[in-house]
Amino acid sequence: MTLARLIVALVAASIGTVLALPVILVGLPFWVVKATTRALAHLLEPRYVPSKGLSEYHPVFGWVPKAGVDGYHYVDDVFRVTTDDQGWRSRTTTLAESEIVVLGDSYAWGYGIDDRHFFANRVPQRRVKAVGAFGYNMVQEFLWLQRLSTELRGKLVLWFIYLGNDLFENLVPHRRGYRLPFLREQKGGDDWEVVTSHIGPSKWWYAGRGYGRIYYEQLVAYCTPTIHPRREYAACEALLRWGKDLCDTAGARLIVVSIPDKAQLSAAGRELLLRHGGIPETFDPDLPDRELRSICERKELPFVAGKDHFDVQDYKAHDVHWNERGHQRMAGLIADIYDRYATRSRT
Amino acid sequence: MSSTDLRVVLPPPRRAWLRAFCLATSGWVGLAVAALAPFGLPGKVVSAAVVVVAAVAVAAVRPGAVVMPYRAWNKAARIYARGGRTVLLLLCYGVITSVGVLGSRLQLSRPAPNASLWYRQDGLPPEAYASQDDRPGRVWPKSQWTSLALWAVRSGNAWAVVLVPFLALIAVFDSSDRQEFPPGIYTLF
Repeated sequence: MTLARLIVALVAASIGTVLALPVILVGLPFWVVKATTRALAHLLEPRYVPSKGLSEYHPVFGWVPKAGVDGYHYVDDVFRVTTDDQGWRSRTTTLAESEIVVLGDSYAWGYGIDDRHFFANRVPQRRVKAVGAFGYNMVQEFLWLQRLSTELRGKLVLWFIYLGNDLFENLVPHRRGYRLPFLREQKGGDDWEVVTSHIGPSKWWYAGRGYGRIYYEQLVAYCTPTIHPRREYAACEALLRWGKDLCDTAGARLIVVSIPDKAQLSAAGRELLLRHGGIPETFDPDLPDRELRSICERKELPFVAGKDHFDVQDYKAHDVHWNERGHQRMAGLIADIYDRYATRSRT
Repeated sequence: MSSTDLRVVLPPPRRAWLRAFCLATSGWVGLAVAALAPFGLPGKVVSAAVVVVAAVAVAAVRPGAVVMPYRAWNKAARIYARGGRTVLLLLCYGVITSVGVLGSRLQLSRPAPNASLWYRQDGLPPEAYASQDDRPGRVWPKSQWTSLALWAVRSGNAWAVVLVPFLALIAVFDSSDRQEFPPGIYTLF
């Protein structure tokens, strides 16, 4: 039986091979061009380091950006990355020299953008230092603010809050298995505390549902009104309160800037979010900004809603981060914010 | 992009790939011009050189200008790949149906007495960090085709070995427009 099957299969496959030959011949130009293009691209494209070459484990922050990087990385295209001796993106300005400090996650780090297009290098007549690392939540950013507070006197501090994931990641102990500091309500529920006791290099044992699968659901939740206030906003309020106190003590001025997800900025994005559990009647992409604005008003913090300044053309087509146009727009926005708030605080 | 990527479809345009595409197509077009041009040898060389130099200039100065031809070529490649895939799938079904005419058999792996077919779920391997989400990356043996051939022989389905070339070609005809990310993106340390 086995031999008979084999013989039948061989006969059928022989006929199939003859029939497949024309298909293969028609495709030869495609193969030849693809193979040649691929070989040449391999020669022309700079070698890029994986993202693990850009950050390293840290026992308090979870991870920190690597210092002294000078190389290339890849998101939708290869981009040039340099970091200073503290790991912050861009070597053109030191923290001490800067007038403006930007605190944030991958947006502040300039994920996916060449140094020459990085917003911090393009603010006219202002020295900007971005203190950010990809994957950070606001708790990690607050810890950096705390650590660097003695160097902030007289500076404008812009705290980027990316609406896509910053709010819920303040409350979770890991990001894709990487342990990160998070906020926990103190007993009695009066205040919050930063938890770093679980930080270690090993992967968090329970990673839960795939990160990518909860990302949009969370964003939908923030864009949907609820009867009870969300814990994420209470945690965010605590962080902003602590941040303001630190900056006030240090003699710096803190300003909060929200960074919208590109799904909040287009009709197609709205459709995408509605497919992740949004209800058309109640879905409101401006809701996260209104919540943050009201927190900032309570704390007497200036608030700038990024949604009023960015559109979907400022973002990469295949990634959530800004493209060159988005970085240029942020550079312009920072210049405007500086003129508006730094000048006012001097007078 | 995997180093073993044999698909006919080009990846989404990147600067280096646009330049490379411009150079590659101009090289082949230059060769074709040299072969077909009704000139003597010097004329053929000059006409081919003109094509190549023009393309090199475009690739160096304005790689963005190549985006449209790149996309058009890729669209044609995708149409070809879809068609080729359909034909090869039909041929595979033809082989399987031919074998099926001889009858089928079902082999069950029954557990021994007091044994179980359950197996322990271990923790995630370190490679899981490189995954796009919280599952280990797709792990293939070094040669998936060798593994398939070995399985076919060991399981008494030696006839299935003849499918291997067809299945390999079907993989080449994959025309999905997914964004390829390098392994290790957002792998932090």
